[in-house]
Amino acid sequence: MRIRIPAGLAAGIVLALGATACSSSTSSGPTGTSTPASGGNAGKTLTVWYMDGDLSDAAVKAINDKFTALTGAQVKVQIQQWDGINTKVATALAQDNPPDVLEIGNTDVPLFAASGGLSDITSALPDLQAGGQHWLPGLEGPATVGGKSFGAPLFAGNRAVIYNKKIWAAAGITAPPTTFAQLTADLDAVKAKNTAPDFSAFYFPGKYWHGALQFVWDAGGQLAAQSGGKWTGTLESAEAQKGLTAWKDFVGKYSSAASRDVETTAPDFNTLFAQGKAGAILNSSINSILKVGPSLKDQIGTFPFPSATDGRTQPVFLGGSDLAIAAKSKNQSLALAYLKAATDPAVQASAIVGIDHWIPASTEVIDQTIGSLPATSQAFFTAAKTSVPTPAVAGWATVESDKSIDDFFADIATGRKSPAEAAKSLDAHLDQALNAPVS
Amino acid sequence: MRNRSLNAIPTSAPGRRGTAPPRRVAPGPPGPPAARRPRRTPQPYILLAPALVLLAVVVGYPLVRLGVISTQGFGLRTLITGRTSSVGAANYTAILHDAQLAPILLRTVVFAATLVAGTVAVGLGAALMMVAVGRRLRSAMMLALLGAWAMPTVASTLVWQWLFQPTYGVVNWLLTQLRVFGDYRQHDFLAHPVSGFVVVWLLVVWISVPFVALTLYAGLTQIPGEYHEAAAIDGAGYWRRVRTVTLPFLRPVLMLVTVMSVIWDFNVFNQIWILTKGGPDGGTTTIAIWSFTKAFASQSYGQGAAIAVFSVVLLAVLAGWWVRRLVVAGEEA
Repeated sequence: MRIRIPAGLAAGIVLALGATACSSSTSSGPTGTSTPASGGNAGKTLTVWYMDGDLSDAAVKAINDKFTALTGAQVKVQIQQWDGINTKVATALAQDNPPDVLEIGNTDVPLFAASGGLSDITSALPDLQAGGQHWLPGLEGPATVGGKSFGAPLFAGNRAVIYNKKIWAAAGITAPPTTFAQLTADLDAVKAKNTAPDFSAFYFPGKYWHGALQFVWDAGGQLAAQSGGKWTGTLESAEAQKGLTAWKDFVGKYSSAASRDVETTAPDFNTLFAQGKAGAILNSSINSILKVGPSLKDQIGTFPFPSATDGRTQPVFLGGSDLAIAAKSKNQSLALAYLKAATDPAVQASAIVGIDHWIPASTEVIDQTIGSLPATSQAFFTAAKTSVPTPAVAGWATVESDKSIDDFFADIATGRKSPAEAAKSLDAHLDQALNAPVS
Repeated sequence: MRNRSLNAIPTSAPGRRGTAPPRRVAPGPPGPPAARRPRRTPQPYILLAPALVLLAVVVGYPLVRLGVISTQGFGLRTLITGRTSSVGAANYTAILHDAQLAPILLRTVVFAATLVAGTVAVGLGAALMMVAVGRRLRSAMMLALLGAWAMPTVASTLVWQWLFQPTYGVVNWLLTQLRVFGDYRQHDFLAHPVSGFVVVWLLVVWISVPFVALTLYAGLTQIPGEYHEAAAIDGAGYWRRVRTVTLPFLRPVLMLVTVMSVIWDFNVFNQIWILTKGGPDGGTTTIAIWSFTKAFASQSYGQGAAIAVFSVVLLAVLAGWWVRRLVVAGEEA
């Protein structure tokens, strides 16, 4: 159910990039400011749920300050743990006195939107996107259900290639590749130089759909298409099959045999990389690697995964969070003002990017801030500009939670099923799950 | 009636021998109160009341709620809006017509049967060994068993995941060191349904053996030594004594641990979910995993509840039938 970047990792990014603040503490006391300002809202308090490990205290405070300046109301922040969060959010939304604003993982938003728990903010979009802000499709898409919008983007994180410069240099490569052909040529060289059975030129676990889907999208394929209100799994399409075959060839050639049926965590691919058992991996930050191997700091390079089409990068899956308003909240207009404060371009630039080094809500803010980032962060920002959302429908959470999407890719990587066979059975499951009525 | 039968279990074994040894076999409730039954006194009910109330709240209410939800179209919207709608038996019909039902049931039964057999066999072996060895070794065994028992299942499952994982797995390394099977360091045990099942089986048996072993050991210590002595004087060897003296005496305890193992192993969840998530390709999906994915992955709480009710009924029928059979066999002898 939780589709996003692991919380620990998020906390780590902050540390690794040298931000001064540490990750959100678990304290749930009020951290809002208390400067009553203009408007009749002084004395009112808005309750906001943030997720553990996502935004730092300093970034949350920057948003709260902006909100207080706009409205005069105060903010009570409550930090929630990821474990069992969907059940917790569902229960909270069912209460008569729910939190007013909630941070929700971007692929979980459709689930709650379709169940009637969130407020429709479509009419407020022109105001929220004032100044021609283009929200990232990977964040806005999942929050849009049936043409209506139920959430505003808060931040995102995505994946880029992380490689070990020393291992690559030993194979005679000094510059990161910019085309897919260059990448495979480089990996061939790395592979030829390192022949140990447990070494992977590019370690790519079989159960890693966030990464594997990039190949499908790059070939022009999609998970599912909607027409006439009905979703259809489209992994059997020629484009998707081309992408799946390309992925199978890629992992078959460059990733170890042991990686075919495992997730990223067991064995932990950051550890494999840190111990020199992998020349490159695809991940959302370099920080978990540095935790295992701090000495690698100057040895790590990053670049966006190049597309099979020259001059482009592979579309990425954008993990991240949206802010949504509880339908039963009694402070609807204040809650909307909070969304406005959080998506404000200046706050996004200073807090989300400046403090936390997350990907901000709009492409405009990305362009504006990318120059000021450390070199290893830039590849992630570049890659984020081409992102694809998962199907914006409640049933998507099913496909993710029952692990059928993990099994799908593992079946292909291990050869248990051909891409065509695997696609046939997952398409059937998608047809059923994505169209399941929300009761 | 069933309650009375259960009460009768602990006392049936000595009777079966036709010898009536001292009543040390099991500290069960007083014998069948057949003679006293007509005199209805309120005291027993007053004493029972707190336990009954507690059971009704902690077990009864959730069970009733489960039954109610299983007849409703209960999903996330229901949870948030609180508006429920009855769908009659639709959840049950959907399950019974699901093509997955038969393979999942078969898998669950085979899995539970092999687990129970393994647990009881290993547990009985350990118990017999504890009786046979000296005091120090016995204490060491008890400590080891208690340690395994005290470990939370999630923690031990994560340890298992590490023991059997490619590249860093300890078992992979050990197998490689044996130099018999070749290089196993890159082998992924969980990638194949059979070896995945074996890994889960080992883990569940490892977790379940302590209870069985300690309970059986307690039962063993209650067997009067004279019987073994008499059998030994008559020339019975060790295995003969186990068969003709130990096992008949141990029968009620053995039955108890077997029934409990059946119930537990039928519902194994953590170990399977963490290690294999029911995969590969549904190869380790048992009824507990199925119920969970229906309820919490598909947000169809109604259908998940229906599967749970279905498995409760199935278990009750199986266990009830089996307990009755054993009790009847015990009384006839």
